[in-house]
Amino acid sequence: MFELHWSPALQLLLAMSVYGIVFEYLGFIVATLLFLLAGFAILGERRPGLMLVAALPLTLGFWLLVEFLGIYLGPGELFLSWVGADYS
Amino acid sequence: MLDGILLGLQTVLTINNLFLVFTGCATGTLIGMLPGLGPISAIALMIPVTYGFDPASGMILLAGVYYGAIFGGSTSSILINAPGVAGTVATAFDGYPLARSGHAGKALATAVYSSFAGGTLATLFLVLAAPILADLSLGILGSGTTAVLLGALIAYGIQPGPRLIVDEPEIFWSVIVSMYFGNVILLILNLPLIPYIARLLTIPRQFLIPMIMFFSLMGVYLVSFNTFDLQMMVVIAAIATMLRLLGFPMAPLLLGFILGGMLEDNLRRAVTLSDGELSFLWDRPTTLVLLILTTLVLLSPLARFFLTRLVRGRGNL
Repeated sequence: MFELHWSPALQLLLAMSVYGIVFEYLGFIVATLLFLLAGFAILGERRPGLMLVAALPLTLGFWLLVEFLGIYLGPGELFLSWVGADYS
Repeated sequence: MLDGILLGLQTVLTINNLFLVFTGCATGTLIGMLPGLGPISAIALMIPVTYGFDPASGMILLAGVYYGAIFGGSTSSILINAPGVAGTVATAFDGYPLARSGHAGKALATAVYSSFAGGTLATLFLVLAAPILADLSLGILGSGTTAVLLGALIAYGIQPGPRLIVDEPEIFWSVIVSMYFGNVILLILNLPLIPYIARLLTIPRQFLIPMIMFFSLMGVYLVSFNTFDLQMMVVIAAIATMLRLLGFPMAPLLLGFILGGMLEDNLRRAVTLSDGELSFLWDRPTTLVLLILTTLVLLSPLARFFLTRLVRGRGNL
């Protein structure tokens, strides 16, 4: 029988929604890393090293795949202002 | 027809094009395997790569990506019950329970074998029917995916439609012949990988679930590049969770989602053809019989419900 763990389910939905909101500001890499780490933590993972080992290769690998295919995923306004780029 | 096959063989059996069939199948399988990414996203992602190819090679690659992605979708259907296309919904019905009971490898192998058998038969029929059905197979949009493929053709400056097989026989036949080679490649490529793919299930849930969510988010985002769609997805996810909780079966819902769009497209096309009249629905005996059968099937659960109540009511008296 399907039973719902209300609290993590709601937190995960919230995390997805926040990911959608901050995606364009933070950019793909930062937003995805934060989303994955938050997701792992919501589901009870508490080992920071292992969390990074799981999140980093996935994020960078996916970014490289998409980049190789010629799709542009914006680095995010935050990153651009940090390196002083003019994105107007 | 034989000329056509020979022409196709001539084009496909070059090192370049065989390499493209292989690359297409491998990339398609890889992208299709990711939950949430189906053939539409796979082709859309690969189209930029094919700019500058000659049209036949480009279409060979994209066709490889297309059936590779459909096949790859069977993996996510079996392992995590997330079919990405209509074609693999049925795979999830049988495959997911098998995977849950510890026979993921068996289910994955069955998918490989049936994909090979089905693909071979389909290619054979396509070859036999090609002279008659060319307009049906390449002229009419059957789904979002064919729309993307036809868009790629137009980008090469080629007019898709019934005349394609006459005007551009090289493209038509090389794609069909390459599909047969692609089938064999899928078989050889995937059978040795099954044990490794099945072990993906051993990733602990607290890692697996956020990753699946990420792929699903990307599957939505990479089609439209619109973050509003991500919010819509969250709302739909919440509704779907409620439905699961209330015990609604997901299969009819999925089929409704996938077939509903196709139904609307085709109904609109038929209404346009008949100048806005709906009478074509019951004018001809075939459509009338189909309509009556559909109504009967739709009403049968209701009828059964009332019949059982009637019988029980009598029993109590």
